[in-house]
Amino acid sequence: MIRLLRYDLVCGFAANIKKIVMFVIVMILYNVIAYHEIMAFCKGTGIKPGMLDYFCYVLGGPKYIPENMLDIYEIPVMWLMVQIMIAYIIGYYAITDLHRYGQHILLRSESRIKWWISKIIWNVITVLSMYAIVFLMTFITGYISGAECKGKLTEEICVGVCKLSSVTQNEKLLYIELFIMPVIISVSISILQMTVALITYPIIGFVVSQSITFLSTIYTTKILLSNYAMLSHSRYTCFSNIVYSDGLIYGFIVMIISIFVGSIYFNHVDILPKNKDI
Amino acid sequence: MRRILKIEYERSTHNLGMLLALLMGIGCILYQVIPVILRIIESKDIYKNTYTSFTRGGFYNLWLPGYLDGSTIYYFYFIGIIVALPFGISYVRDKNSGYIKNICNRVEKKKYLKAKFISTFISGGCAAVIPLIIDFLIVRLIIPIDCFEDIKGTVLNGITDWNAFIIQHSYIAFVIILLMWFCFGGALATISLMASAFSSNYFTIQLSPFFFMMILFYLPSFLPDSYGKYFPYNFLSLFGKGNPFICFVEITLILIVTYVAFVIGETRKDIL
Repeated sequence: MIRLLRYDLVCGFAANIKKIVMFVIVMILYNVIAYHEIMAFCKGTGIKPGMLDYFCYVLGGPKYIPENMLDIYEIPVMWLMVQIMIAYIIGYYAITDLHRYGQHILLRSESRIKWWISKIIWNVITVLSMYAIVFLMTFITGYISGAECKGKLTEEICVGVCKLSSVTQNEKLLYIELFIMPVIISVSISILQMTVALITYPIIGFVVSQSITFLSTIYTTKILLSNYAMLSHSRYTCFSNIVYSDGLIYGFIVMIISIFVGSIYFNHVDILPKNKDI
Repeated sequence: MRRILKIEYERSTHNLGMLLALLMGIGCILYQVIPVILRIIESKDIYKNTYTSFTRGGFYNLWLPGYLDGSTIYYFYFIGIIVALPFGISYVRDKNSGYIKNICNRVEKKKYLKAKFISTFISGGCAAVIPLIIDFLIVRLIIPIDCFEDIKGTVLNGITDWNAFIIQHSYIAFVIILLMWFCFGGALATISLMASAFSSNYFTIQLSPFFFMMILFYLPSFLPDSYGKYFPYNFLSLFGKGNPFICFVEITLILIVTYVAFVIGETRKDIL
């Protein structure tokens, strides 16, 4: 099992090295935009930004859109690009590996379940690595701009630049909503994507995961999982019923069901490559 | 050329990718239209308030390009994937399976590439426009196309030449809008062919039109508002101030670039 995991970690990252470099470039661009917008606002108002304000800009999510007010909606391209790049990195490795060298590895491991669990662990570690890159680069941006380590959000910056409706100063909630929930929800959605990709096609897995993410930027409902990853859609910053505790339970349920369905399917499926249409 | 074009056209339209693309598009249309129909059915006063509120702005206010709804934005967001699904990865698949060697023994490679380019354009255009035609047929059940009782506050209220043309010549404008969507969808699909000249990763090729659209969604935020009309969300929908001329110029530019990169670029390469 450990050898299988080592193979997946080494080959998985090696196969995706170009995509990871692209992700780093996207994050650099996103942080440059964050730096310019926050510094321009601070120069105009004389407020000093905090480190958490940068994290709020990058991870806080898109503006909350009340019902029937779609005319103010703008596609939050940069926030979506982070989710798209993670889905892009996750999307294809497991299936291509199965149809190429991974078949030999599967034969030697003598267990389909171990192969599937190894892929799940690879998936989780990849998502955590991507978020580690996000946190690191945002921290560096905040450090370069001279942001204070206040431990709180600056209300004027969060409402004026980060597009939050209001701000919560409850530190425990803030750290859970801003740092922990995006990671857990991303892991759940990535595992769901990988399961759908295994059962159908990688592009369908991508469409399913990105549909959930994109529709969450428009509709603030409990059904759409990505809402729990956005501080801007939380009950503590706007008029919604999105609570992080529901998100934790929902995220774990989606994760467990995806892993279970994937393992049952993979135990019975013919692993030889077929001539697929898409 | 005719024979290879026929073969490629059959392959591009009769496959699972086209079915999935149409399902995605039709799903968006049904999500948009069904609540409207249900509201009319549930309303007791169908010929008074409810019906009048739908006839304001006419047909174009309920049709997808003019109806501001989550499904419309979803359709714009995923149009890059919808058009690439039918035939976007066919060239790389042909290369990997060895099919291209059999074809190039029988037909000149340039003719094969041209046939593939044309088929991809047609399949992408069909995937983009068929849901709009279905939406037209459904909305037409509710409201006539040339009924403009009161356009104040509706999508055609903008003071542009294009909006005035739509009001005066509704049927011709409808055909032009469909043509715009067909050509733009086809041009977007050819971007995946261009990507297949540089990459052999199926996922990257299928997503290349999607990433291209993401760039086009983001660029307007860096430019003054007056440049917004040059971007697809404004010239394909009725919300912006775009017009068909801008759309067809951009389509021509995209087609020239993708044709040169794919047909001319790949003709020079060896198939072995």
